[in-house]
Amino acid sequence: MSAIITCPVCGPRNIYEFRFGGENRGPRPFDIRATPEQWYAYVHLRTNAAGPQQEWWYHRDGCGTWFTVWRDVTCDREVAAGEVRK
Amino acid sequence: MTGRLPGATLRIDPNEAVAFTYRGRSLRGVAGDTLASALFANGVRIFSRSFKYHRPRGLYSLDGQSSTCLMAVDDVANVKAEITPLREGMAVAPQNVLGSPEHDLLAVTGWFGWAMPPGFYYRLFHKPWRLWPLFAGLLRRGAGLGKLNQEPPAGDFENQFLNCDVCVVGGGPAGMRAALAAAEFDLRVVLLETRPHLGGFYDWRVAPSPWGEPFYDRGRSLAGKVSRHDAIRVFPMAHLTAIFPGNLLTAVQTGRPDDGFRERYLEIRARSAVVATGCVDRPLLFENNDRPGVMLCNCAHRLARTYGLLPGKRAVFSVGNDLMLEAADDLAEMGLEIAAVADARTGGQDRRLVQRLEDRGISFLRGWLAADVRGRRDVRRVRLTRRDGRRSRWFEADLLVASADRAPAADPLLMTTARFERDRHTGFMLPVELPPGLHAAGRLLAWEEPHAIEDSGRLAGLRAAAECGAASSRDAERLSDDLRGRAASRPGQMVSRAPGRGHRSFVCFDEDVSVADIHRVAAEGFDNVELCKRYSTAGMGPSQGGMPGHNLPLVMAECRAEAVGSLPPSRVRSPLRPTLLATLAGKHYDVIKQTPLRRVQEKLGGVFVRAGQWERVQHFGHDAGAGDEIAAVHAGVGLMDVSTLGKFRIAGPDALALLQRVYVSDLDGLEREQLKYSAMCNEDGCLIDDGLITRTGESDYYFTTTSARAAQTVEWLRYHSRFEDWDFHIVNLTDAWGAVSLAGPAAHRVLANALEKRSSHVPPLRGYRETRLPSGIPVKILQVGFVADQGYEIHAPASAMTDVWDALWEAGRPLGIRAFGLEAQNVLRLERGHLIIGEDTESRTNLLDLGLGFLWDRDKRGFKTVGVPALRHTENQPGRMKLIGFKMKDPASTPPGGSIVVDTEVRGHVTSSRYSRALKQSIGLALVEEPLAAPGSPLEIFVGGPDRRRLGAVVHRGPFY
Amino acid sequence: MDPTGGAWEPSCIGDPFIERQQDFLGHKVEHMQTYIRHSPLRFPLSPQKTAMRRGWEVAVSFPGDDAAPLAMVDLSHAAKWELYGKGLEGRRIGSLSIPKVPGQAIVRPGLAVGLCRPSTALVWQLPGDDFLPSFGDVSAVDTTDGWALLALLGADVLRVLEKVSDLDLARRADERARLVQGPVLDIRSRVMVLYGNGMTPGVLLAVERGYGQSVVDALLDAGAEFGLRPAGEQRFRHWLESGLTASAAGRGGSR
Repeated sequence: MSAIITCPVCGPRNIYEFRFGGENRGPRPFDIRATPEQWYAYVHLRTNAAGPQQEWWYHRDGCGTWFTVWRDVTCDREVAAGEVRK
Repeated sequence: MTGRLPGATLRIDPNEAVAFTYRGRSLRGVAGDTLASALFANGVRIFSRSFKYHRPRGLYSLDGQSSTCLMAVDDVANVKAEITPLREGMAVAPQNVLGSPEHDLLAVTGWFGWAMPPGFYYRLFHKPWRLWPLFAGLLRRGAGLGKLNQEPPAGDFENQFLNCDVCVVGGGPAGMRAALAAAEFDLRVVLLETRPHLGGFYDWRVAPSPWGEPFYDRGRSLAGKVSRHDAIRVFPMAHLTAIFPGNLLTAVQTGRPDDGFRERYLEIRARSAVVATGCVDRPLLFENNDRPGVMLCNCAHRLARTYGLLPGKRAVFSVGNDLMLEAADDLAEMGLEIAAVADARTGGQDRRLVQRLEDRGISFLRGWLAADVRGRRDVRRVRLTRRDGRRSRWFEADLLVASADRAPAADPLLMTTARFERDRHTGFMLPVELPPGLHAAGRLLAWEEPHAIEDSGRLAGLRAAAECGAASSRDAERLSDDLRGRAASRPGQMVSRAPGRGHRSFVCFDEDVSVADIHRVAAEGFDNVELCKRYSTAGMGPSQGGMPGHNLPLVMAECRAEAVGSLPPSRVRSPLRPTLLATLAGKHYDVIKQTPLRRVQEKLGGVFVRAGQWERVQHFGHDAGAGDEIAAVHAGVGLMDVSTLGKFRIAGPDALALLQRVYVSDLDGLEREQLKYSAMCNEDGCLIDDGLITRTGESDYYFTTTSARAAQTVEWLRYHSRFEDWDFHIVNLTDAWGAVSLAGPAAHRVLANALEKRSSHVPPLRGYRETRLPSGIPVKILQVGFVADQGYEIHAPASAMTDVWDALWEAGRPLGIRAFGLEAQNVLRLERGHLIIGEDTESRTNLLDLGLGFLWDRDKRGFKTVGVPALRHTENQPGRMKLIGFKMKDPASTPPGGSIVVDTEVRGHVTSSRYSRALKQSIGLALVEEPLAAPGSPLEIFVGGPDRRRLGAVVHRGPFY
Repeated sequence: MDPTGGAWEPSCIGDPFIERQQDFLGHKVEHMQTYIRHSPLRFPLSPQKTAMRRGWEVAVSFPGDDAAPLAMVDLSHAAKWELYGKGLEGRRIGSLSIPKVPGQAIVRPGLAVGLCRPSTALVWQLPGDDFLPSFGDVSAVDTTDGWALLALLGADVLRVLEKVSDLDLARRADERARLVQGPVLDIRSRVMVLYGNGMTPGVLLAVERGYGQSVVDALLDAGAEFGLRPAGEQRFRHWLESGLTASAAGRGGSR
């Protein structure tokens, strides 16, 4: 409850203001055709690294920006800012 | 007036009386009293009865460290009398007694204490198990703390969210110096103090400080500087409940009589925090150490110096450090007769203090301590004994002031990731590594000498300030060096009790756990502090380990025959203080959304229900079945507020690409004034939203979503374009535009009438028009068929929505227009076989399962349309649940939503069902396994409840009406 | 900015009141308005004086509102736009200056401009000056009716907000105004805080229109201990004019 996420537009804010968008797995690698395995790997598989991971957050209660941060999931702390996106 | 002692240190106003009642008796305290001090002043000595044995308990500490002071105040249970300010008119009652605290009939349980060792009921009463409910009932009547009031507590409970640079916990000398140091840099400082006044352990001491003036004077002048400083906000009576990572501190503040709130929940976000919570008295353990008339040294001293009350007539002291010798001397000065002072230390006392006591003719016993107290409900005689127990002496006394030594109040630090080590010299658990942004200062670091205490506070303040970007000052270096050179504190007094079995030496007052109990528990194998705590429940009562926390590890070390101080205290968790749920809830404002047609619909008798964030009309008038509303839409025309629909404008060169990505339909070539119905799926192909899209400009689109999705649509669209460098601008117009649905065979005529000379602007089937009402109101008209063949949505600026409603109402009046609500809409759409997302769908139902595959343009490529790969995979997948319509064989029986579809096993469930008056037939939608989904298939629907039975139904394809 | 970069039509969807602009059908606006626009907010007190402002019935004053230590003014009738354009930051559009950094705000008599996020700005036309801004080639969406806009004026304004929001609204260095987007009463809000030099603090709070009445009720309750009371537009005008004058005197001109 006490964690902070740093929005590239609004600055550090209470994590409650954000929506979690999952680990960054890059853009969808296929258009409308994919093997079930490709689809499954993209939609449902996660790395689950114990340590820092790059992940998407959306500033839902604020500016409405999707962005990435590097967060150490073992201690729930941001370790670095990610790339700024839409 | 009330017989209080005079003195410069008093924190009461003896001239201002405060009336209250105790057990129905009218009593008087004075302004500044706590409930406990007022009761004590009125001669009340027994405050409560203990949890298990109903032993009499009295005033013991003044900081609410144990359950002895729990009382019912104005029907709220478990109020801590020691930290609750007295208010005019308070109605106070003891709790956990049958009769009065002085004559408690349940005290008989104490006679059988030998039969009730820790955990006894788990062991004794579990066989035969059938009798457990009986035992449980009996036990629960005798045990427990207070009686829960089912009514919401009176008074205002508030929240306050504070943002600051430095938050200082503890308003003693170290805390005040820390706050002042940080404030020098113009940083925002918040100071939390649990007592009503700043000053810490300076506040009641008249002894001269090293600066010359008495300690209390020094404390008050520091407090004055703090209070006057613009950058420091002081919160008195604020009890810290937790420190969370990221320096989020939470506290509960008790309102003083003139505060507007009763309790306030504080949430403080600090860049840096300083913990300077000082020390508390560690209780001394001896037989009957819980008797009324036994109190901590600090309690006795403050009672006299802060509240002007002598704690007794003839006292015996059993102490463990010089501060307590000073207290004995000071109380003697104030008129307390002292029979003897025992000091558990064998040496190392401040000689001047000892001399002063001896000058007063008080016998001073080095290396002695209290061992036993006699007296049924009070103190009559006290036995002091030598540390080895070989020699004893009895003293007549009505007061025993007893503390083993001071102990650090380090709970706030213990709950963080700080690393602690036991300091062999003082016995203190000292933080050797603190998490970033957290500092400690003052007595809890075992500083004893006032200069060192204040310097360590200032140093912590400077370090905290530096973390907040203040220029690092050379002061900090110097102070740090100075402190390193300071004389070490005197050795701690580690002995916690005289030799003996300790059957009635209570380690935990809350749960009536004695030294002997701890030994028994250890012998059973629970010889680890954490396990012992859970099994014996020592420290699991209202004091949350506060008081027993210091002695439990010491007694456990004794059990294991290990060196005193070898064991760490048990883990500390939040909340550090028991907290009312009402306080945590705070002032919960129910913030809801109202449509622009709220008042219009109120006037028409609308019955409002909560639908997501919105309040919407369920039905108008008294008919919950909305029969007339439905009939109006069937036969004439109805008008419904659909302002909650999501409404969006998306524009820009890449707007179309984004729409193509999220909608399953191909929107290329969508013409102006043309309306397209489409759906959004998630990557699993599951339907999440449906709505209408039109093009209003070159690359400018207007689209609607369901009410439930309105708040997430911008997020969804941006999410699915997050890797693209697309140029578009999306604006949520949900609140900016209101909307009504005009439906029924007469809808076209009503709309044409309302448009007057622009009647040709009524859109055709699947058409969209922008026009104006005669009054000039701009409207967007969408032809829709959700609840009737002929239907229109009319969107207009929210501020003009009531006029739009009135205009349509006037135009429809000759045709019998009626307002309709959600219930009517639900029946009407069901008759037409339309689904509601989230009601007739669940997280596994995809577009194809719902029979909406026609929305998916399979040839659309190049847009990475969300959900399409999954739709392709599931197209011919067996074993999926399909949404079907059904008619009941018995037309009058309606299975409730959620009823299961069965044959020999569960095959699906009913998602919506209603009795249609128009069809004189019960109809519904259900999700069933594919083999059962063929039109004409018979279904059996199980209805539970008192008349369990199976109802027959038949699968129906297409609209019912 | 490359004016052809955003090759889509500038338009003002849905606002029938901007005479110099097209309406959403692309026609010059030529209609006479014969209806009244309604604010989503109702105060538990009747105004002393009202006036019509471009189709809205506006409370000019409430009984004794100039004496209230803390005032709440309904500014929902203020015209509001959302501007979009790549490279919008720091641009001057006619008489408008767009802030350079998200979170920055610029307030002038009759106008407040804030940068919400890169490429997106908001413009609120505050009471005080009746000119209509022109946005040139920048795309503007009229969001007047989308937001309930409240002004909270008085020394203790941040004390009230701290009871209902954990946003840090305190002044940083000597900034004059700031736009903070975040939760107030747990709902998404836009808060413009005006500090100025020698100016009574004030906050402009925008919440989605539907929430407006709930928010007013909650704030009046939370602010009661500080003497928060409904006030009219007049109080806001005085506050803004005198505040901006004082502020300008303190630190030469508007930023």
